Amino acid sequence: MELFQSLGLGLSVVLTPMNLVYCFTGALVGTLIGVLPGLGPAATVAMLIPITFTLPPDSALIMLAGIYYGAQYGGSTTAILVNLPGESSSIVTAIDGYQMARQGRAGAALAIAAIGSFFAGTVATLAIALFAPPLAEMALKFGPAEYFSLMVLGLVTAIVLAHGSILKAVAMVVLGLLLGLVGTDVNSGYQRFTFDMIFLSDGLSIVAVAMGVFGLGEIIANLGHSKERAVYASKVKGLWLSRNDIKRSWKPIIRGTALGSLLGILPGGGAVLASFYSYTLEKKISGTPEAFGKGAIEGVAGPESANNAGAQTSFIPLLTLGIPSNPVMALMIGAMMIQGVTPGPEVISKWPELFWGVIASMWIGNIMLVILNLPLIGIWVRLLTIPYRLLFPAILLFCCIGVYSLNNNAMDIVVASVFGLMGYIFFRLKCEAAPLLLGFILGSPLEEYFRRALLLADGNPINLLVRPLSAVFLATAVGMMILVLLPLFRNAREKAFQE
Amino acid sequence: MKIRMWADFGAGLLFFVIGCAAIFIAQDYPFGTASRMGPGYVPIWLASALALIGTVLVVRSMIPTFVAREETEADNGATPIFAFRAVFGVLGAVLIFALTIDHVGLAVASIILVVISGTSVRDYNVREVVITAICLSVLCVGLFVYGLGVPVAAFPFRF
Repeated sequence: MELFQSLGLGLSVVLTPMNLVYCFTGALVGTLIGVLPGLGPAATVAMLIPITFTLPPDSALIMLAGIYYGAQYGGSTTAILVNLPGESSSIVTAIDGYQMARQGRAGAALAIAAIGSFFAGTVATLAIALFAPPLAEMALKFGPAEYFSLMVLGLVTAIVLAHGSILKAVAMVVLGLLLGLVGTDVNSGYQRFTFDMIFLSDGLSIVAVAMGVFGLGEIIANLGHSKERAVYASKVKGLWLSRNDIKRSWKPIIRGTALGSLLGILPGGGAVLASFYSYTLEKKISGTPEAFGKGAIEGVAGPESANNAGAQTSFIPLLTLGIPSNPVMALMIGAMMIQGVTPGPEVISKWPELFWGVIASMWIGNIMLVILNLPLIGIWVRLLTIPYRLLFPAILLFCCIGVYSLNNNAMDIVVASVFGLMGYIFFRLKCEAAPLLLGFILGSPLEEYFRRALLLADGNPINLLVRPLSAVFLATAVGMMILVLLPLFRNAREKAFQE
Repeated sequence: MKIRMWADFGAGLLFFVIGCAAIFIAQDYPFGTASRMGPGYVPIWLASALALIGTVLVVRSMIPTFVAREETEADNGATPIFAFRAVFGVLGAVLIFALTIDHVGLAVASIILVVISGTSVRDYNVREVVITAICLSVLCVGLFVYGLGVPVAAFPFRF
């Protein structure tokens, strides 16, 4: 079996003492920072990327992956205990999880979240191992037209999945694409939007942009518009689940995992969609739909599994196509480039140790998360009770040191603060930032593929549609855009995001 | 005033201004043709799209029926329109950190950052802020300079 051979190769990479330490540290630090209210996985990963610079590529990615799912898991803890979802995919968890916490069942909610996440993580890891290689093989045949159309599809998905106004999401993507073009033009060597500043000729640093928008912008928003929040910390006692809890949860966990694994592959942020769909599904097929919103354990078990499965399978488009499906994956692309690894279909054949090592590490990391989180929950709870006015200077300082250590250039901190201001303005104007970051990372490759595709097609865009795969991607993108603008679907979408 | 309305208006205006500025800057870049695009081709198209969307947003925000159809939120007056204190406190602290880090080292720069950022909270407690600053400074120097080997000077002088 080739699959087991490959996974064996991956395990042999992870199970070295050094990489185990990095995997463990990543999961631990990711959870530690992800637990802090108001810091989502994107800000956490951006903050910690510089730490991994000095590591070899496989260790660096193993650690970053650990940070990512650690942060994801930590975010769920915050959602359950404080009703403050760190990012959009744990919004759904907060609905019933927080109600459970108010009823003194925080322990059960946290335990089922951990178990569901672990199960989902295991299945999703296998899914990646199964589907990534054939997908990469297919992607090797892609020409510039296919890549261009696929990226357009990814961006359209991101627009459709964004909260609030579609028009604003489109604008954010376009603005992101423009920002991605800042720097030296690859073809002509022309300096674009650099204002004659040398540090801009390499383009804006993705870490600085992400840190500004997701880190600094969030901190300002939290400080300026703080809401009352009560931590149900003292009530976390028993982590044990009753027989009834398990009986009610195991089916939602399996259904959530299946949904999450499928939707996570979508370029454009499937994890959010997965957790939301899982919640609606459980509510619909439940015998007691009225219990949802009042602390139904199914409403935690399903979405948590879906969200974790989606988070894992979102690595598939990254590792096989080099296309990010969410802001964290965009940052991963940045991290891979810094390590000298070009994300795309060649990763599997060129860097098999890296590819399989990262995949195997996800599974190991999920075991570590369960071992780590359930006993340490007391520490996370105590962390949540630290007042924000004492916490935010520390976060701010870590952000600054992180950005500075990218290039040892203080200008990167200035860039981050400009984007911090932008991030806060976007927050006030109700523009979601995730599409901006996806546009930003895809700006330069999208232009490059567009140019090459039209060069081959003698400048006639119709030729993008003659190639069958490219036509399918573009048609799907257009179809999704039309669908989302139809009144029926539009209302459903708005209702969905309000819940 | 409905939040939805001024959020759309403000966002539209912002996109319009950024789009126009980008067109203005990129107008000198060689444009090229569709089969041989110059460095100006894609930026001009993107910037025009941005300016256009901005215009649509601004115009739409002024049509009352359209705004009413969309979700509306009551502005309860509890949240400020623009949190000046938080913006200046946080960004001021970050910018001064950027200006000082190369000259005074991490130990001092982090104390400055924490002390300034403290002003973004309404009840500024000097003792608390100073204690936090010193603790964080020691922690960061230990963790980043000596622990992780981040190449940044800890102090303005060498021991």
